[in-house]
Amino acid sequence: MDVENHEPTGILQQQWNRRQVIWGGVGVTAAALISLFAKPDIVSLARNLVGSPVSSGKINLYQFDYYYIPNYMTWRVGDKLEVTLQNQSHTHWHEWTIGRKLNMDYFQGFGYMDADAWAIDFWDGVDVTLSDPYKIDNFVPNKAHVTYVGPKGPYQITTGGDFSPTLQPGGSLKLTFTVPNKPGLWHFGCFVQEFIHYRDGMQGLINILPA
Amino acid sequence: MEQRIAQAEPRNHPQPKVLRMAPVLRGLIWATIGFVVFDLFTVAVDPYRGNPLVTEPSAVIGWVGGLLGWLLGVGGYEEMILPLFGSPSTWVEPKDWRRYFGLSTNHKVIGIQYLFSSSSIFLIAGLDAMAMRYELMQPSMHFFTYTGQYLTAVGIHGSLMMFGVGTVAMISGLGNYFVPLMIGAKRTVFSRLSGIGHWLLPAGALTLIASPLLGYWDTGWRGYEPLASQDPGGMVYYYLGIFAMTFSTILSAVNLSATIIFHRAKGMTWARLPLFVWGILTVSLLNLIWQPEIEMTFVMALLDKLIPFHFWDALGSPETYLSMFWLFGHPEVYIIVLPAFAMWNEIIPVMAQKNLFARDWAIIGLIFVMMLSGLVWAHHMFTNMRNSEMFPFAFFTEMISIPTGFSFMAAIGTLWKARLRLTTPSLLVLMSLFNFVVGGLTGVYLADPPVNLQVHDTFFVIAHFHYTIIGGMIFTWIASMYYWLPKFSGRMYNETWGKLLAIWIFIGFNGTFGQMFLLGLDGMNRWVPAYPPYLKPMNYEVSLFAFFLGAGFIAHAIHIIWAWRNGPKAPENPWHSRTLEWLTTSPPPENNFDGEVEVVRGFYRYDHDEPSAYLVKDASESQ
Repeated sequence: MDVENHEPTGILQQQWNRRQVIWGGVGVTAAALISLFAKPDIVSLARNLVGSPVSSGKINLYQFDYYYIPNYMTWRVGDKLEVTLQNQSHTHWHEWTIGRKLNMDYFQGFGYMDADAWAIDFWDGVDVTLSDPYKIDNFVPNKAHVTYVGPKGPYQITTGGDFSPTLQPGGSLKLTFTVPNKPGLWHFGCFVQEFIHYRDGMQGLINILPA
Repeated sequence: MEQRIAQAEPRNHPQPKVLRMAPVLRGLIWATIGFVVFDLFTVAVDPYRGNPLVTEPSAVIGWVGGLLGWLLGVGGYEEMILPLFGSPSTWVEPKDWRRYFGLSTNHKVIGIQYLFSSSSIFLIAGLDAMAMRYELMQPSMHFFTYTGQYLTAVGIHGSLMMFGVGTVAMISGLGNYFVPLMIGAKRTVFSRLSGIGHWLLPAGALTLIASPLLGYWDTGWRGYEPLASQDPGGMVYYYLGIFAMTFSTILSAVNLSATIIFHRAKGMTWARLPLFVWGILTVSLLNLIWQPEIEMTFVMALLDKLIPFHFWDALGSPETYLSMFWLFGHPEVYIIVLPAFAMWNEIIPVMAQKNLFARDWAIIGLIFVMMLSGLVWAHHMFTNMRNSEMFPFAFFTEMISIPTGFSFMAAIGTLWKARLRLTTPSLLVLMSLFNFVVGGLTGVYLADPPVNLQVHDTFFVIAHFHYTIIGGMIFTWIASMYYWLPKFSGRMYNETWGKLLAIWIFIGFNGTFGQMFLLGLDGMNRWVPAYPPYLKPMNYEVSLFAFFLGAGFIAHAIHIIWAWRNGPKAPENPWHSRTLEWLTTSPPPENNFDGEVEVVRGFYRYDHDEPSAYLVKDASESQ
């Protein structure tokens, strides 16, 4: 049979109208635009409706290029947490800072650029234990009260900036602490490479509930 | 004795089926289902760290499911899968407007589908460009929040324009519609393949547009390594989106070249083949060579990112990627402009009613541009190579201006002492010739290493290639739309509005890109959303001209759509052209010609009144 010239033997009557195409097209376009430009709003709306489970005990926090999984956590004041930070990138160094209010910085001739550090460091005065270090690039304790368990060799303890462990590709570190009495919303992010990682979306949110 | 012959029952479906949903909407729903199923399956068998629902690997596998769902939903299930397994196709193409919203095997419907998709992509990528120009009105970032957003906008703009407009509008759009008509064929060779090929184009474009959902990517339309391998997940949708769009182009190239080779009318020798058809043939051969090359490069880059293989990072060879990309990337420019070269020499003799000057050389020019285009790629990499390597590539790049000149000289020779009818198509072709000269001359400068090393990756380069591509191809595309509008619709546009709008975009275009040469020489770099403040005044002005140009393109689209539906009735052959598409009614009937076409002489001689071809309704009338 000449497949190109055959007459279709079956019948598939197409019964749809112009209105369906127009409304369908408008609906799909609207959905696409919303998903493209209003992703954070949809997520926070869903979170407000459904809520978010309170994390307790052990938490795995993964670092990728350029995002965290999870990028939203709910903690409760007084809970004892063990966060295992793992850098899953094959190529990039990544850090973990938590704080409020981004420092704005006048950036050469190009005007203001956001995010060079936090104005308020979450870890200020917090007791935290670091353990199981693997491929740690450097660590800034800032004003946290830090206890080190295990080999101290992998750490290059430095000063300047917020509390921030920086992990090499494939690195990991365990942070054990009791959630301090600092309820409310806290932001976290990675400021590596002149803060480009943060600007490229490597950010997250922690909602700390009162005890 | 009565003889009974065993006969199979006709395999009609006992119950008539009814499709209550437009195929495009069904395709979207099936694509969503396909994505979710494939994605969840991937997550189930290979959970990733932290168990997110969408990861880079699952987004890729999910995309395959989504694409399958889309292609099956728009009609592929009934028209391709059922016959594949021996069942009769249940697909009946509607005869009314509904045929544009699902799979079709009619080359004219497919051509219009391509033109619509390509124009929509042009609009989206154009709006994207407007966002970029708005950002560049100020030296600091004020519209985009992150640099990654700006660079993703640049990448989506470039990729959509290159793979969804430049290689599509004139080739798959006008080519599908007019090549069979111009060679006297009733249909194309692989009409079903061509029908499904179109639907890969919107799928690819939507993939690219959706890429920011997976993360901003920084590489622009070039996907440079090793940056790409370190980029966020949006990069994988760059590879996949372009894969779908280039696959659509490959299917068009297979179908159109086979149609030109095998379906020519009686008497349609190679020596008589119309210029536009030569353009489509040469460009289809280019597509068959280079599109698979870039697809494989991108597949390797995708695997490099997902697995990773280290093809092009510090352990591999990033420069190999540059070579593989430009090995395709420069022929891509000629893929875009060859049909425009051909179209100049299609429109000018008709509008001048004068013999085409040096027709054979015009065709030789097309063929040699095609052959040389693969030998110039490394001029994009002058900053990466030794001085001794620059010379051959500078030489070949400047050489290619010679066959390009053949097309030009044929056009200018035809114009010489011609009494040209200054219609909208001829005006736009003249503008296109002017713009392309500017693009070509600045291309000679860029082929010279001392200049190239100075202006590399500045706005000078941006101005040069926009002169070549918008100035060469887009102006000619619009000219072709006006030229063939009476054939598409049987209606004529408004000549005053056509000319006015042509002048509008000419001023907008030169105001925008002419100044970019100066911006580049003044030190304005590409790929930056923020720049030194001394460049602000000229950037501000360029942006205003760019908005003016964008509005002009939209005005052309509105005018053409208006004329298509409501324009005054056009005569059967308003331009007194001799090519075969004017031998039939406007718009053409289902089978193109009401009889067999027989060509008796070439189409570009106006020094006699003898017809070029006859329509033979009865075999005994054959010449």
